[in-house]
Amino acid sequence: MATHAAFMPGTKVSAGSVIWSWITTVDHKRVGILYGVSAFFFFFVGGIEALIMRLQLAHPDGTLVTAQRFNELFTMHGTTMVFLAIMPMSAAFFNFMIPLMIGARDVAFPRLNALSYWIFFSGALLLHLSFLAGAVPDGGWFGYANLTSHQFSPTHSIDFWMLGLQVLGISSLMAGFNFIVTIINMRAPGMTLMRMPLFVWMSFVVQFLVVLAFPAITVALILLMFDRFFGTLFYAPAGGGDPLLWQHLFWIFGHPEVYILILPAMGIVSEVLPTFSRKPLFGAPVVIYSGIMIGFFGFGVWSHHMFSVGMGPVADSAFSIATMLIAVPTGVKILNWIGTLWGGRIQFRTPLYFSLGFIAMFTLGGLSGVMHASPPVDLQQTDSYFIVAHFHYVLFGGSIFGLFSGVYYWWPKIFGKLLDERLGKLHFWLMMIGFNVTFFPMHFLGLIGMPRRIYTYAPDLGWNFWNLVATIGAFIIALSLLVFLGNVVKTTRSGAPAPADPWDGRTLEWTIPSPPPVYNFAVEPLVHDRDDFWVQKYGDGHGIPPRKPSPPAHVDTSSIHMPPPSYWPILLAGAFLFMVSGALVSIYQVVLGGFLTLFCMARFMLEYHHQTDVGPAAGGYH
Amino acid sequence: MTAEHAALAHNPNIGTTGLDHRKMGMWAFLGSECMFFGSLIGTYLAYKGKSINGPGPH
Repeated sequence: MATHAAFMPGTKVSAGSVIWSWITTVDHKRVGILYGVSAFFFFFVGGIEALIMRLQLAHPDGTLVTAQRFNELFTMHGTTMVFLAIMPMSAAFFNFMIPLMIGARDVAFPRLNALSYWIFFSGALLLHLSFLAGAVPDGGWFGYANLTSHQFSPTHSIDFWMLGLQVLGISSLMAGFNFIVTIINMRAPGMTLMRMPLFVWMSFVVQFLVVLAFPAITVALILLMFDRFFGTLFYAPAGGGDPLLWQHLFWIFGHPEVYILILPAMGIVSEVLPTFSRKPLFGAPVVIYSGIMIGFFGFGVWSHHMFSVGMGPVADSAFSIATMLIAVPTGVKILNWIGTLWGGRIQFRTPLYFSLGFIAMFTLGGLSGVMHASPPVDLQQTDSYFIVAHFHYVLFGGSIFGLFSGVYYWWPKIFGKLLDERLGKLHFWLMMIGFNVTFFPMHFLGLIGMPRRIYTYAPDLGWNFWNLVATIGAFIIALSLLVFLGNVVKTTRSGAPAPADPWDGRTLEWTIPSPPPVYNFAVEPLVHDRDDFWVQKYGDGHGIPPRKPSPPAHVDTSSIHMPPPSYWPILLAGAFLFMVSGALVSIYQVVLGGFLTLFCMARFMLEYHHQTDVGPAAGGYH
Repeated sequence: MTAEHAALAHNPNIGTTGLDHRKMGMWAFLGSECMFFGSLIGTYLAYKGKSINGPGPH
């Protein structure tokens, strides 16, 4: 039924039909919530792996885990956090917010969207089935050849990693095509490209990075699969192959990937700062252009991950210069964010705290990043804890702080309840302190020579004190996340219902009820400005007066046609998982799974082929 | 609004740019495929003539 908040659970129906409605949903808001919940689950899984590693390293000669187990822990921690926590958390916001911010009723391909989620879920499942199989991936998150060859990894561990990543890549690619089309083709009338909110712009750049970067790792993984399953020698020097090929293909994907992880957070911060400074984003077009520049440069700097390979002075210099150049658009953005705060009427709410934390921590991480851009300096720092400190400052201090800013900012829109401010600020301060106590000492550890990925160390190397400090910090971060969970439980139980526009927002998503009805907008909005809702409320301050809100339209919402639910996305993803996991079991399972996948694909494609009207009149959705 | 416009507005596959979602999605997919085959061709060029036991270039 197309009633208000009908996409939310708990409307007097049985548990079975609630679960059924979630697994067959094609509503972008529900798919977004599924992504978000999964991302949080895996964020906690990856966090527990990190805590075990920190406990092991708290004292010299630690005996909590073996060397093999430690290799598995850092591999799964990295893979989980990158592919199963930060990326799906961003995807949750893409799904939920992009259609609302551009004034659309859904994404361009709703069933493909559901399929993206279920394929993602299959990939995550496959990766974690390795724990049950007792062959956990242990080759590091970038799985360098020829550590991943049969000779050095004879068990199925690398197979789980390789196939899991391949499946996750398919999910990301499908979501990428979907959002490119959604953003280009589903904008409300009047929303020109330059009037798009900054979060939509940064997401737009991310989708291009996804569809252009993932094919490279797809090829790298296909070659690895041939090496492991069919005895080819793509990465084997003995057969004339070159392990460097893996490094190049991986990092052509891997460097855009780090911008895939950070740009959504930058977009969120660019929404939060204007809202809580109560003034437009300073130099918004320049922020957009620098986002695009980051996207372009992101494809030209991959070899700075490989300075220690010895590529020669020309390649080293070229990639060094390109890497230093990419700091320019990033610096421009930081300037613009600070310029937005300048002279604003700042309201210190929790989302703003996290955004300010993002700016400070991301700047620190960016500075150590520029240090690695110089090959002679990088040769000193590479594979040391200095690098670990750097990328945690950009991925945790950057992405995670930015994403939490988005969580606090959009929570009332998504769930209709305002998160508690006092607990939110406690969460922020604990996380900020814990984060710096954990990762700042890693700079020192790296500079006094501690290599990454060692499972233990001798007591007389001078690393004892800072390692203990870092472990204490990790537990402060864990405590901060418990505070967040407590906040969620408390808010869900007894939080006050959120109004449609709790923050005095600027963009279209705040014009509709919280949580939004299934059809989002009863009347298609007409857009006149980048901060359209703000201009509508207050004018633009340069002569354009506030618009009189149009009288509430009496729209018969039951006549709005939304796509009906479908169970083919989850069945197709299940058949696909069956086929892929067959590679580890038997060729017959691959063949059977292949036929099942083809069958589900055909049914998926032809589901509404004969139907022209799929609204409630045609017995559509309930 | 002409009849043509009305037909456009009614077709759920036509977006605000007037282009078909499916066509645009297919173009995005083809762009992505350029990188896929680019990587394969790049691998071929990097390895051309370097195989130890395969046929060499003539």
